Amino acid sequence: MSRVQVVPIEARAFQGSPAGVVSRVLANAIDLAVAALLTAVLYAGWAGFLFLRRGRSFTFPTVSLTVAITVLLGVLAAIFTAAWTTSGRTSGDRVLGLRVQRRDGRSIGPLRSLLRALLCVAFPLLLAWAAVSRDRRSVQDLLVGTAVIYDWEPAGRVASDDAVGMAVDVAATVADEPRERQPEPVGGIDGQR
Amino acid sequence: MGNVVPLVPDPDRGREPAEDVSTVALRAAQAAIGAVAIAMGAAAEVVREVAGLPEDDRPTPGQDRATLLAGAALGLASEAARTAAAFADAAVRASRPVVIAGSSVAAPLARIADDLLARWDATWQRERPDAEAMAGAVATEATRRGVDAVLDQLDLTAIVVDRVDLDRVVAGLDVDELARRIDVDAIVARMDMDALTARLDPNEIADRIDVERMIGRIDLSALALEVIERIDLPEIIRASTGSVASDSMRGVRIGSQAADDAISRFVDRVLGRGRPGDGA
Repeated sequence: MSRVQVVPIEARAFQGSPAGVVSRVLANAIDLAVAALLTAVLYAGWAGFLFLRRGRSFTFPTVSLTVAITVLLGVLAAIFTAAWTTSGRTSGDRVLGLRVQRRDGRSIGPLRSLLRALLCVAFPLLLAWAAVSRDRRSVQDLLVGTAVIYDWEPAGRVASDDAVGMAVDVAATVADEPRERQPEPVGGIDGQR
Repeated sequence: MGNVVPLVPDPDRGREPAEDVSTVALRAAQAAIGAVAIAMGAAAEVVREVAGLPEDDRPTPGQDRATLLAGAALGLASEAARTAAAFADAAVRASRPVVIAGSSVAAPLARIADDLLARWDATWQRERPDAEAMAGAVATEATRRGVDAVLDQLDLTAIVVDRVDLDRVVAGLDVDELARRIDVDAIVARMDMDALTARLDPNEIADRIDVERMIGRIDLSALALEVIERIDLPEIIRASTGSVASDSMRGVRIGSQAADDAISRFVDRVLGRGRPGDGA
């Protein structure tokens, strides 16, 4: 044990194990809500832009459902890609304590993230395979070679691995420091004697 | 005591041996008289003390004792006299041929001396038990007082320190055995620990401790991590900050994880699978 575990004791047992379908659906729901919010913000921005352009003749732009859904899914895919590339976790993953990684535990690159994002957005129901799969992998996971795990560490496992190394280094430094300083007080004692 | 004196100078008994005998007898008589004088004084004092009387004599009980003292003195005197007489007698016997040949005056004198000795001897025999008992008591008390007086004059401690090789004495002691005999618990029970601790100055003790050196020996980081791990610091932080958000988030996570497991078990059961590693 080289660093403080932030994960509660009752949750430590399943850290790193494959996440189930409920957690992932909930996470996706949150992501979808975030995407919808972002889409609304985009629409508001677009409307504001039009207002500035048209002035008095401004009316709110009408958007067809298809366009709206397409934009929404595009935003969602963008969010997925950006999140998985950087930290391996979206906002929903953060809330649910999940993380997407490659099967061997490495973080997934941008291409893999993009491919996975498109697959998830296009065929969301394929996630259901995670409920049936023995190792809880969705079809997207099987295609892209990824896995979703429980990971409650705030910094994420990959980052936390670095953090562990850092922590060990710091601990070693701290541990070394007194050893280096040890002769000093001893010398002081001898001097007193 | 005067009755002893005539016995002593008897130079007529014989020339050569009588000279020695008379000298010895004289010295013996002198010693006896001195002893009797001292003994009488001491005896009188001892008797007063034993009887619990004040310094001045009391007439009624004193009389009996006066008699006894006289008897003691007489007994001692008689003893001395008898010894002297024995010596003299031996001398006379040794010098008899010379005496008979030299003078006929010696015969009546010898007879008178014999009579005198016989009378004294009879007196002595009569007084002997009382006198001896009294003399014994006197001697005992005198010895005690003498020893006391000697000890009063001596500084025994100084003598022991000067003359005794204490190291050797101590070397002969089995200190372990002594220590084993000491009941430390009883000693500690008798000690007033509160008073003892009140006398201690914790600050002074703390000043003497080299804290830096002690800390230097400790792997502080490992220790701190272990402590944090044991006390579940994250839990404490969560509880103390009272973050409803993180608390509810944890609840959601735990709940969803439980739901994941439940669904996995359900699917496993439906598909007739064994229990694969839910948490593997």
